[in-house]
Amino acid sequence: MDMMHDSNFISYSDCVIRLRMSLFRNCTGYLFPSRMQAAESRRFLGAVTERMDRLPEGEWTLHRSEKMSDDEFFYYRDRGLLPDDYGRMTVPVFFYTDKNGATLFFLNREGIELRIVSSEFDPFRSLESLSDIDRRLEKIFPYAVSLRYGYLNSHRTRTGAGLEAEVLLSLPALNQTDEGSRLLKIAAAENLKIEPYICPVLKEAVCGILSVSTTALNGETEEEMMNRFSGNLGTIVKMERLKRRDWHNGMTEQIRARYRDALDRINLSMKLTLAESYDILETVRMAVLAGVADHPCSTINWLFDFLKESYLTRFRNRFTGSSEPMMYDSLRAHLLKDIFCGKAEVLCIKD
Amino acid sequence: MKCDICKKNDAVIHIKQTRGNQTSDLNLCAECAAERGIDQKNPQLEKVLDTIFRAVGSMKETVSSGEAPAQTVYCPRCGISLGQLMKKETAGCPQCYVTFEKELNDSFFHDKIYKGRIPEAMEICRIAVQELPDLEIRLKSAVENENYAEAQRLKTEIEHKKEALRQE
Ligand SMILES: [Zn+2]
Ligand SMILES: [Zn+2]
Repeated sequence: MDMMHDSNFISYSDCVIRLRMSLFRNCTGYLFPSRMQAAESRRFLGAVTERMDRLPEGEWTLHRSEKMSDDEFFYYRDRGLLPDDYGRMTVPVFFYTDKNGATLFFLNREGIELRIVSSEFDPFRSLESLSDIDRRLEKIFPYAVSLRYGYLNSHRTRTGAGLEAEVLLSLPALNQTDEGSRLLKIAAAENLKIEPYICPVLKEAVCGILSVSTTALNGETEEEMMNRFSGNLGTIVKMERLKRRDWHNGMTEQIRARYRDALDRINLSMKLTLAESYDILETVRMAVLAGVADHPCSTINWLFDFLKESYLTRFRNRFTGSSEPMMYDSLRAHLLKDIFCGKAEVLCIKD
Repeated sequence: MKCDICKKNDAVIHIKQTRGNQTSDLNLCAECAAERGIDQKNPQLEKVLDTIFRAVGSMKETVSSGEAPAQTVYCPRCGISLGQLMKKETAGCPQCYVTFEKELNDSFFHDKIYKGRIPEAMEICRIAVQELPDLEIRLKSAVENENYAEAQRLKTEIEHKKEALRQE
């Protein structure tokens, strides 16, 4: 296999909350989704479902959205494994594969999208997982490909490798300085899109969290794009880490005080909303990065998704052992108390 | 004055094209201009401008007459017009890449050939249609330039590729 790339995994867990990557494909004999009429959409979905049935069972478990509970569906969506606007009913076909934690869904931006989300920033490994699934799918789907342009998709930036990558980044040090213009300069030169992350649950920007994304440039291969993307991410992370050094000049006391306030808030609160919890999390992150608190960054990153209702619902039995109606705000308060102010068994839960 | 392409932002760049005794105007915002490579330093500037003039022209005609003028080209498969495609930078179907090949190349692809991964079943076509002819041309020029080491290397590579074709 040509993708046997040595995974140069560098941990950016102090900055990267999660990495999402997508492959876009369309099929010959069908229009792109934006031009499809209802009858053709039905024909497409019918063909897709029929072909998916031919995919050999095994390491590959398929879940179809129409057989999924709402809880499960929203869980995948909150994790970023489905687009925020992906209709539960309008596009009924959706498959999820256990092994690689990937989703395959249809008729969104392109005919077919294969997505993977990971808490670690290891784009080459994510790409390998995606390609591995894609190699099987290409045997059952007649992809629209040209020798000249590569994979044919509706938007020119997705034509070619048909690959998109996005990371959610927390950059507390850069955030406090006016380095924004420098970031935008890098973005413009390197074909990156940098924008505030809008939380689909809160429907508003989450303080200090950025979404950095890119598609392949004209003619660029997947590997070239991944090299460019991880190279640029490295530069941004370096800038952030450098800025953090300035914290020692007087900032540390301020951060320590804010951290103490956050702990007080956790200890005293019986209820915490998602927005309040995010606020606390970013304060804790700063304290950890400034060296005044000792928690793993991976826990903070993991809580970013875990504090959402869909996650709390999914794991409710592990906390409460009961199926009583969920009290999300009090559950969040409990959880944060457990993790940051003492007993931390909850940390062992993996999704 | 609004930008002719996005119809949203204020136009900051105004270009006049004269062809014979016909002149046409093009008004662009900074964003649309930058996206389409309108830059004094772009060696393809003339080509790029020409494509945009034609695309915007067909958009204007469609809007003003209400009825599509005879010369507007539509994709026979999905029915999208060149103007619509250029405006949203979104094709309607795989056939669009054939129908609007020249315009897409002039505005976006600039003769770049994609070299990345494609379905395994197509790799063999790529060797036959792209890689072998390309290697043969390079071999010929290496021989002409009496660069024998390079020629030998290319010959071996050609043999490997041909072997791969035979195995298929
Ligand atoms: Zn514009
Ligand atoms: Zn078309």
